[in-house]
Amino acid sequence: MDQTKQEEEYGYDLFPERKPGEHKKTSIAESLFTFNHKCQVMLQFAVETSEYQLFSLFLSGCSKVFKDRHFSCEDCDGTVSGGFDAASSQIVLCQNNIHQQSHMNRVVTHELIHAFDHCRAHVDWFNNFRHLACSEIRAANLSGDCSFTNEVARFNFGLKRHHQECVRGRALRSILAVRKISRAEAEKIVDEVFDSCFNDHAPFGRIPHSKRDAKFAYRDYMNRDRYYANL
Amino acid sequence: MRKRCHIVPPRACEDYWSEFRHCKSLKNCFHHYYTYGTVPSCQQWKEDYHNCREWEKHRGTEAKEALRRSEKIRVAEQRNFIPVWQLRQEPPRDWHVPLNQEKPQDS
Repeated sequence: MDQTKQEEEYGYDLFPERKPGEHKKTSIAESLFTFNHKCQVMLQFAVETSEYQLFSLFLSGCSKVFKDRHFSCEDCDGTVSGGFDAASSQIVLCQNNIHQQSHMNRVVTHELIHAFDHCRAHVDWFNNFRHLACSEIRAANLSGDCSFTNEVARFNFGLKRHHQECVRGRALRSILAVRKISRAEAEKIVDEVFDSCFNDHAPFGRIPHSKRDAKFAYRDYMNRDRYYANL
Repeated sequence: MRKRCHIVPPRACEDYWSEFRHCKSLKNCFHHYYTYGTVPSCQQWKEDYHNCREWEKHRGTEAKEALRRSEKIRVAEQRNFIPVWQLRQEPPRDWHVPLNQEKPQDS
C-alpha cells in the first residue's frame, strides 16, 4: 500500500514523528527545544504510581512493560493526547498536549488498556473497526477518562448513567480521529459492540472508580489462585 | 483432573466484610448511580461474610455451598458477554523485539 495512504488510513498522520515501520531516536536538540524532557519526567512519575505497578502485573502474556522500550514522547497533531502503535508495540505520549501530571497518569492508564488488549487477544487494530471500537470503549470505561470530575471539568454536567454516555462519546471521538469513516458508521459500530465491551472489565474485575476499587482489584488478582481453587 | 480443595473459603472472611463496607459507602453508591443509574445492592456481600464465618467456625456444609454458589454467580456475571475478539494462547511475538530490528509479522 502507498505509504501516505497507509499513514492517513491508520491515523499515523496524527503522529508525524512516527512513520509506520520506522524508528527515530530523539536528538538532543529535540529534547531541548520541545516538551520532550517534561514529558519524560511526568512519565517517570506516572510509572511510579501504584496503579501503574498494578497494571504492569496484569499485562497478561507480555509480562513486562519497559519505560524505554514501550513508551515514546513525541509531538502530535491537533488535540490528541496519546496513542497505541501496535506495529511497534509502543505507547505514544503527546508531549505537546499533555501538560499536567494527572492528565499524564490518565493517558498512560488509557493506553495501557490498549496494550493489555493487544497482549491478551488477537486484536486486528488496522482492519477490524469492531475490535478498535471495543478497545476504545474499554479504555474510556476503565481509565478514569469518564469520571464525574473529569466530565464536569469538560462542562459535561450529567449524573444518572452519564458514565455510559461519556464512554460512548469518547470511544466515537477516538475512532473518528484515527480512521476515515463517517460518523453514522462509527456510531453503528460502537452500538453493535457496546454491551459486550462495556461489560468486559478485565483485568480489574470491576470499573475502578477510586483508589479503593483499584486496591481491591489488586487484592483479587493476588488472591486468584486460592479463589479459583476453592470455587 | 480437577483438584478438589474446598478447604478454605475462596476469599478471606475479612475480604467479604471490607467489600460489603465499600459497597455501601457513599462514594461507591454515587459511582454506581453515575454508571448504572441505580444504587448498588450490597446484601450478598454481607451474607457471604456470615457464611464464610460459619464455614470457618463450624465447617457447615450448607454455609460452604451457599458461599460457593454465590461466588459462582459472581464469576458468571463477570463473563456475561460475548467477546468481540479471540483470546491469544501466547503473547505477541514482537512485544520485546528492539525497535531498530526487523519485526516478524504478528499473527
